[in-house]
Amino acid sequence: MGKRSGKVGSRRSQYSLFDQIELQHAPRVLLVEFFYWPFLAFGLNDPDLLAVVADKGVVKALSPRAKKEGIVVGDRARTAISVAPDLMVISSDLIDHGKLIFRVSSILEKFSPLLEVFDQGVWAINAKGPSRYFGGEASLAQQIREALAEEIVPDSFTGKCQKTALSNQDSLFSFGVSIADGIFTARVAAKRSLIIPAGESGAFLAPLPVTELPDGEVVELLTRLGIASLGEFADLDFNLVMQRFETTGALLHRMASGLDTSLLEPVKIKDDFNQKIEFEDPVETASAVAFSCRAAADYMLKRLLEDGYICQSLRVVLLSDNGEESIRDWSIQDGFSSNSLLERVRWQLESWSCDPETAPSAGVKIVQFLPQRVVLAGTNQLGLDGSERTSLAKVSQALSRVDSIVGKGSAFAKLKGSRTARGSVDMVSWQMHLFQVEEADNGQGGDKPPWPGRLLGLIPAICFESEVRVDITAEDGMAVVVRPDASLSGKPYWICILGTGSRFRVEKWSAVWPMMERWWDQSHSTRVARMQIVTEELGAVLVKSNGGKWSIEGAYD
Amino acid sequence: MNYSIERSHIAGSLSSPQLLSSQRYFEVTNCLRDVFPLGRVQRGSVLLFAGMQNSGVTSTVFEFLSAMEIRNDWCALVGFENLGFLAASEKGVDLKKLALIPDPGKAVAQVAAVLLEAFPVVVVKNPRFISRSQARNLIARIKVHKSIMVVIWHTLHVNGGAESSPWFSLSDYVIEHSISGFYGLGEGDGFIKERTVSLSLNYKRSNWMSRNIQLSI
Repeated sequence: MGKRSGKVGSRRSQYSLFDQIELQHAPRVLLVEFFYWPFLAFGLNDPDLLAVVADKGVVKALSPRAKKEGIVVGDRARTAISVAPDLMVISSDLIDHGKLIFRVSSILEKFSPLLEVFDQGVWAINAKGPSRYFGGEASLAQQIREALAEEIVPDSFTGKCQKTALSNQDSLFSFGVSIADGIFTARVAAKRSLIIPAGESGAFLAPLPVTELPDGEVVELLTRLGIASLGEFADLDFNLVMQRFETTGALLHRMASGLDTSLLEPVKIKDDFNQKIEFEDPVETASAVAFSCRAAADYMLKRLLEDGYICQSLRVVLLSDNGEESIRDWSIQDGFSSNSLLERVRWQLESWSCDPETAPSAGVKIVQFLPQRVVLAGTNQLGLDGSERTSLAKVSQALSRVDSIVGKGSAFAKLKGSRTARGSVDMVSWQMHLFQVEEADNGQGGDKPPWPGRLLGLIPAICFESEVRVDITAEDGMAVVVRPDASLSGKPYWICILGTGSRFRVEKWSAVWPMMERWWDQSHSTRVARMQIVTEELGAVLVKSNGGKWSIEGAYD
Repeated sequence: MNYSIERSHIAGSLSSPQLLSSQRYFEVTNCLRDVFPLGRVQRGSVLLFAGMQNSGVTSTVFEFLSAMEIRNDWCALVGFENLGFLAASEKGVDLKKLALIPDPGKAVAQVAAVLLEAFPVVVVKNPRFISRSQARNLIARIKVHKSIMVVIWHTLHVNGGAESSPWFSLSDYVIEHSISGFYGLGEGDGFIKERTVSLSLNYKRSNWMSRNIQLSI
């Protein structure tokens, strides 16, 4: 313990004594991370595999060889195939995580009964207790590493030493085991398989680049500000960071200072969110248990949401008729939906009953859901992988309710580059949009290609969906038309809105800019010309001449 | 912990002291910053943007929404036909987080009520079908969910049109637009490069103190 006190390092920390004390009582996080988790979960075991995992056509994970081929996360799967024709593309919804989660969890459970399972191949254990029992942190990490390598690396690569070695190199089976103070530090250290002594997170993180931080936008800004290392970021005044980046920045700053203890600590919430389902007769099959828990799961999540919470981490307790017990913590960054919750229940039950050592001797009698960690819905809680947790669930819920009131679909607008003010937009139904938000974010944000002849200067804030026909006449009443050389036949003086009889005095008008629409299609191509007109009553409007007829395209409101 | 927690010392203030400033206010970051007192908008309030059809109301609202975009928040727009999305996107509004409810018909109040629960900012254009009691219900909901409702009201008169709106007395901020100017074009040459709008803000909490500002947007 003597080692821990006052060892916050050579670096002067601007955090108060209370933060340091809090740190002392914080759990030591042992983190296990599989770097190529989806491939292992898919049951692949060829270390030389050329494969990617894709979600809706966008590459999400790479095998080591795919990485060498130069494919990067965020590529379109189709482009990736053109780079490497013999690429294997695995659709992410075909991957069954449950089986491997069970195998890994049952190994880790031998070291500590309370583990937290994060999605996508990350486990965390509070190492404080187990490390004493297993002869120190280094020894604990080593034993876990060996046990995992034994299980994960298939027998075709024989020899225990080789297996551990294989898991250390950058191969499909590689994983990291680290022990550190906070989950962020542990995650960074896992990439290097290091053990960071207590209180030295700050010193460990200081020389590393800011790109280790999970928030892409803030990182980009910091880099542009000339802040390259985590240490430099941690040296910034906390209050200033808080002012500039708000709670997100505050969280990142604590992470960079090695003081992130937020995860793995239970948040105290009222116990009355807990759910207990008791069956009259013990239930034997996993799917039957999951089915009967649905109502309770729905009710609990709804109650939490009503109080403004989203459940990130949940403890599931299963009790058999003979009193055997299975406890496991499950975590999801985006918060649980009832489906994902029941999926976890099924996994836990299957793993429990499959393992001959622990299998219960009778059916399940009691199921309990105990929320462990909740976040305020709608706050910017950074995910483990850095994705910002948006309240997508809330948004889609609201929109589906609106649809049922209004009776027609709400939508999102999707810009396509084009030269007209109106024709450049696609309406996408909200369901489509919300499902594809990620994809759109990862693609190139090419909203504004340099279209020749696109609208100049200001763009009208109002664009009429249907044509508003007008006449533009000179002072003497002669119609003003656009000549082939894009000049006007007269000075515009009046603009009359057809059908209403109202006419307005033209004060100023812009140059005319001509444009061919659909020039590639002979039968549909039209020559149009545009002009901006300012009147006192109408303000500024954008008018379009098409075949000698004028219409208002948009208004500058 | 030295999170800067804003404690409210004003007696009778309803705001809870446990809230961070970001949970009580929206900072306005762009050119509209000068319009609002202390450059921020209190969450849980109603903003009325009023003006004639051509006085720049829509542009100011876009400008306002793009200030929200920095917080990465979702917005919902109710009753928007004829909207210039290209203009919105050029002004910096994040279309990916902008839900559009084209024409709610007479159910504006119900739709807005549902949206206010999930979206931090809801914009309603010319809500003529909201009764006074429905409006009071909406306001209660806004206060609970700490969201913001923006009402766009197109008036018929150049000056003093905002009072004609039933929302005038119910709003916390009233932003009135008067005449706007367009620059950069003459008689057949150039094109609109700049426009100015004249705004006047009335703020309920400061006894309807008003300030006038000219902006170039």
